Amino acid sequence: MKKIQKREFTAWLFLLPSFVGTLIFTLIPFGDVIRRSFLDAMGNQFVGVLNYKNVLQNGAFQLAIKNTARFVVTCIPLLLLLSLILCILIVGRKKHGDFFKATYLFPMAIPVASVVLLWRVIFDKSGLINEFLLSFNMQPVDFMNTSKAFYVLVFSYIWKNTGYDMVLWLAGLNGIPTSLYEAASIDGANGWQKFKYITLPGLRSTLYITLVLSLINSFKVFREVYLVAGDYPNNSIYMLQHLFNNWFLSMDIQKMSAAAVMLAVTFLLLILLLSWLEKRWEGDYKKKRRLTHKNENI
Amino acid sequence: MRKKFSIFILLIVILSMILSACSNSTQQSGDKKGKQKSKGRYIEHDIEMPKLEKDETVVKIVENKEHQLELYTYIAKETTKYNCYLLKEDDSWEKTSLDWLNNSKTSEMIMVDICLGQDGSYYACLQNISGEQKANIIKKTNEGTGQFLDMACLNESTNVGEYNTYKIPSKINVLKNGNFIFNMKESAQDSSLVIFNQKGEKIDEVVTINPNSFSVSGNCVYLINQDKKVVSYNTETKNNDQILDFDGVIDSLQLFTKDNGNVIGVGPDGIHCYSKDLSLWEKVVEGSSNSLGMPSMDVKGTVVKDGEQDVYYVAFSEVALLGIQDGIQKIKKYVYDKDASSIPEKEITVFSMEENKTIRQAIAIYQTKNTDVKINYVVANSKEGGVDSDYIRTLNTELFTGNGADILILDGLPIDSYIEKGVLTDLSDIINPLIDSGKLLSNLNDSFTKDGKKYQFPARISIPVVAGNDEIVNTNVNLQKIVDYINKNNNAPIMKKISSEALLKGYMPLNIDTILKDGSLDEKALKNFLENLKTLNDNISKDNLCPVDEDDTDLYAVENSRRFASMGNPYTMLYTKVNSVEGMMSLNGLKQKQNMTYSSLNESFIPSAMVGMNNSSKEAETAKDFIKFLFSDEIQKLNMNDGFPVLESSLKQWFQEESKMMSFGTWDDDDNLINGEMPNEEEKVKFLTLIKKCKKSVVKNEALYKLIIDSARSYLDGEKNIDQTVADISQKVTVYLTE
Amino acid sequence: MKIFKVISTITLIVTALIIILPLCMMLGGSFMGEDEIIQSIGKIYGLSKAEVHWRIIPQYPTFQAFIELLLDTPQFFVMFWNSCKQALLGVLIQLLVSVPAAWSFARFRFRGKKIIFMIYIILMILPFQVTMVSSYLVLDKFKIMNSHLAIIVPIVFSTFPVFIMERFFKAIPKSIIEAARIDGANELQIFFYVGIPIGLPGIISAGVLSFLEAWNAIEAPLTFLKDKSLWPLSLYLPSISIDNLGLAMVSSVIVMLPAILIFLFGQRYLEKGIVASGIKE
Repeated sequence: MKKIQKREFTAWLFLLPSFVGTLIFTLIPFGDVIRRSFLDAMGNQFVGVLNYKNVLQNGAFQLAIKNTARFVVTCIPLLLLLSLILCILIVGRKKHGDFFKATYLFPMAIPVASVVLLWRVIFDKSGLINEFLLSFNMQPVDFMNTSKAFYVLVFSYIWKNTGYDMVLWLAGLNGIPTSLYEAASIDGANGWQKFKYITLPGLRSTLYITLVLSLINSFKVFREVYLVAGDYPNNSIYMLQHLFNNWFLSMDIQKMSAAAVMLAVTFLLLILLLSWLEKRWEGDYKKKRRLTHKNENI
Repeated sequence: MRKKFSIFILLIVILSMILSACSNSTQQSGDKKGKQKSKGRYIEHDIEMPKLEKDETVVKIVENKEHQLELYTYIAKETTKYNCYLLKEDDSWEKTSLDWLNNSKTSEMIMVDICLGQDGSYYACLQNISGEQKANIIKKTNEGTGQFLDMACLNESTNVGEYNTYKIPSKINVLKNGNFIFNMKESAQDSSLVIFNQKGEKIDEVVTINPNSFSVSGNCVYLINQDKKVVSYNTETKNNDQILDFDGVIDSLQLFTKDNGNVIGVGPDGIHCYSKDLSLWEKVVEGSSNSLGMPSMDVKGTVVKDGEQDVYYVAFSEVALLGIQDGIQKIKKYVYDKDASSIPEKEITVFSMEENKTIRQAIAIYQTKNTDVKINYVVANSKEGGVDSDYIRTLNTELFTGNGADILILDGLPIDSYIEKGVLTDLSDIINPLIDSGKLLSNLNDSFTKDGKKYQFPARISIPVVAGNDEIVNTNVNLQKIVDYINKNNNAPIMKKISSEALLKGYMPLNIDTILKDGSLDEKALKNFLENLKTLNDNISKDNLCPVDEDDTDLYAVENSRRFASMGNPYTMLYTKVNSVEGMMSLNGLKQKQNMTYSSLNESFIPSAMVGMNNSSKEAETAKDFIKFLFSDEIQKLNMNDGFPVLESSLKQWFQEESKMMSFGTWDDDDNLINGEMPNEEEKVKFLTLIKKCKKSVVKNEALYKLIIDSARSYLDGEKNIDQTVADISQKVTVYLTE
Repeated sequence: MKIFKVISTITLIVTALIIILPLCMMLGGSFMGEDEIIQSIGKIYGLSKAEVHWRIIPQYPTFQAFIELLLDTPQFFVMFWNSCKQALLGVLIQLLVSVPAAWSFARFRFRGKKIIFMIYIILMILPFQVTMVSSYLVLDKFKIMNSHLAIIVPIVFSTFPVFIMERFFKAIPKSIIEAARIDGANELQIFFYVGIPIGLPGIISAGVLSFLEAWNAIEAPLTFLKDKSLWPLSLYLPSISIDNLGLAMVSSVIVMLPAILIFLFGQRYLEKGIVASGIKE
């Protein structure tokens, strides 16, 4: 008993600075947000769940949620797939692998405002792409002001994050012991089978981390949208953060708080789901590996 | 176990040390900035001017060899007489004789400047008023007579038509080696200080951004160079001896030197002293709470009396409306009072998005009258660019946390949201009595009453006016009529071309009621509005008389002379804003044109300096007192050319004032002179009545307007079609309304 | 098989080109004179009627924009140092705080660990606007509002690096730890001599990513810093108006440089670490 207590104490020692800081600077503010979600705007009157009702029924909120969901569901699978493919193409290339990796990672370092500048040059109604289309006698597309703006955003997101996710996949890939592949080769498996039964399962935990990080990055897209289109962009790219910004300008903090709490709860459920899934897979996977090893040692 | 425990303690101690050190250091640096001593600060006192005759112009104050203040004046009647007054210890004046300056030749001149040179002699710069307008330098000799100096630079003339013009210095001084340094205009743009030798031959030229702000010591000149740095320029080595790193407000900074090598800088943020030993500037007198910070006061000279704590005498001229400055009108003395608390007990903050001169003036005056109150004036949008909504967000954050300024100048802020959320205090107890007793203009009452309460009230109003062909211009000007006129006479542009953004910004407030009805968008009305506006835009696009000024985003720009001049040829109408009685001059000029008249714009007025009070202010009493002060006659009667008073008595006073001899003149393309004079009695009465009839406030809803304007612009510029535009706007307005 | 290799190489190259293209455009643009820029893309801003085009290599290369930025714009340097202070200090202290925390989550079992870690993750995902007002309150109470600390402190206690490093620490094989323990090392020594060296790639990756985030931060400085003299570089770019495109290009390039440098530096470690962590059971 003493040993466990000692271990726990040590654990807390390591954790303490971070935990205390997070508590003060992040958790307590969020607690305040929760509190405000049950009060009126200036924090004077208790209004129960009125704010939650108002927010859920609010048309602008629904639009923002719809767009955010649409964006996440479209982009993230696309991004994960693309980066995985690139990763597979790169793995094992000793000579040029590094060069490609560095190249793909560059977009992450470019400041947002510059990216915005470039997008304007490329996607504006008199921009480069439209020039290109015109030269083929096709109709120019006003990207920024129509629902096509959504696709510009998708492209921007994928452009920026592909390298990032690819590196994550690589890290995960390198974590799968080569012995597994050798054993499979001996068993007569071909490339596709190896991929399906060894690689994919082995990447499951990497999937978890990549998913979470990509989700975080998808929210950052707001910066670009805001710099290009201002407070009220085209409906197809109106995001949650726009709504929050505007609520802030009109002093509607009670709505902001209620929406924030709902958002946090949604993420909580999402993370719980993901980590439960991951545990199950990890468990299966570990079992499989032990079996393979056992077989080897025999 | 003990080891671990001690590590644990160590960690916590280190962490808390770091945190407290950080917060301490920020506090300390804050302290250093504020220069907190518990007691003692400079208080401003009035110095009564000497008994002057009518039209006696005060030119300059000079520190004489005994470090006393001398005041130099002249009276220009048939002959000019020059006077000098000496300020005595008890602040009374003694008139002294100026024999060396008063003689037959000088009686035909007026004084431009006078100085006590570093070589110990007095030099005066006089200018002929008749005949050839030349400048003359007269030196006071050791015998006490005036010697005319023959200066080559001043004798040079250039021929302009039939006349010879001469260069006239506006400020002079003399270096220790006897060389002269003048502020002379070499050309229209160049502001440089020119150094001449005794014969008037040019030796050197120094570039400075403010040529009236230099001072000399020995053979060095202290000035502000083009990099906005205070430097000491050695005229013998022709190099900068020193750079005096100044961190205050450098615009309008005036420099003065003391014998001991210290330098004084007097600016709108106060009096700064540069200590030669410490190589540091120090602010000794705070400017924002007295005349130094008042936009209406311009510093003309400073004299410093040494002592344990120096006494500063500053001469001011009051900036007249059209920038004509008649010498010195006021002298103030700044004395150190060691018993006065250095930081006043009560402190309030006033916030405004943009600089407002009337408010700044009021803040300074209030503090001179109430020395126990300190008022901070925070202007969000000072110089560098920044988006308005960012400033509003920062302000809102402060308001949420119960901080925020005590008084908010609501121009450009989301007033409706503030009212809705209970941010603003009800000011009825201040405003209603003034309205009921007829003191405040009653026509303003309705626009600012909400649910029977008053959360805001403007301290100033401007009257938008449309002037032009009497076919379009009558009391019911509207866009449709204008468009019909255009369609009938489809030729010349009817007004000066402005950007589509300015057009939209100008017409939005007037038409928003038809577009946004009962909280929803009327698409047909919007379409109608935009199509009319496009017709107007297309029409004025034909105007190539003057290039479009991209910065001109105001449809109601005041006094754009070109527009007035070109009325009738080719323009048919224009919009403008009248801020003062003098602003009527340009309208009067139109009388010379045929069929031109003007009328108010649907009986609306544009409010500005909207005063609101923060509900969570911790100094409510002081804030309310200041608001009362803003609506008192003393402030209301000021004329900073930013709007009419809202106090009836001050307004009447403006119109009853004797009109100064001014007129507005401009030429049109055919070189015809349009001359507008000050309005006569009848016209004044007419306009006053007009002001009192204006009941509608021009509503400003920045967020909504920006939304619509951003989309509509591309339609007006021909890049989008109408249906697409209406659909876009409709979409965005719906989101805006649902939020 | 060879065909597969060829196709994959081509795919990689094409992708690389698409990704690098905007970067090259910007580099090229930073060497263009004002007139050429307006001529190239002015149409978008209504400044010219010429068709939009963009040469990667400028027709009239010039250093004008560079000179203007580096010599004529003093506030650029002020902002540059602000960025350095905020980002570097923030990330360094952040690592000091989060590395032990990540170690704790990775290798220890204690009551409430799962819940706290879950909270950490959620806090990481929430967008800035959600906690903006409340953060303001807290920062204000500590009197660090409108100072460098207002930016540094939130960076220090960001939960993002903890999340990343936890993964790396978890991947350290138990056998090595056990071996160290048998040799008589206590927890602190294990952390310092085993955990940190092996987990270094994770630490560096977290550091690099945090630095990138801090270097490009926009919302926090905008909201928490009133004094323009404290603004970091990331806020300089959006404030350049249309009529100074050349300046915008150059400043983009310069703002990118430190980020790219740190990036490349960190990448080498990333590589080493990934290979090293391949040594598993």
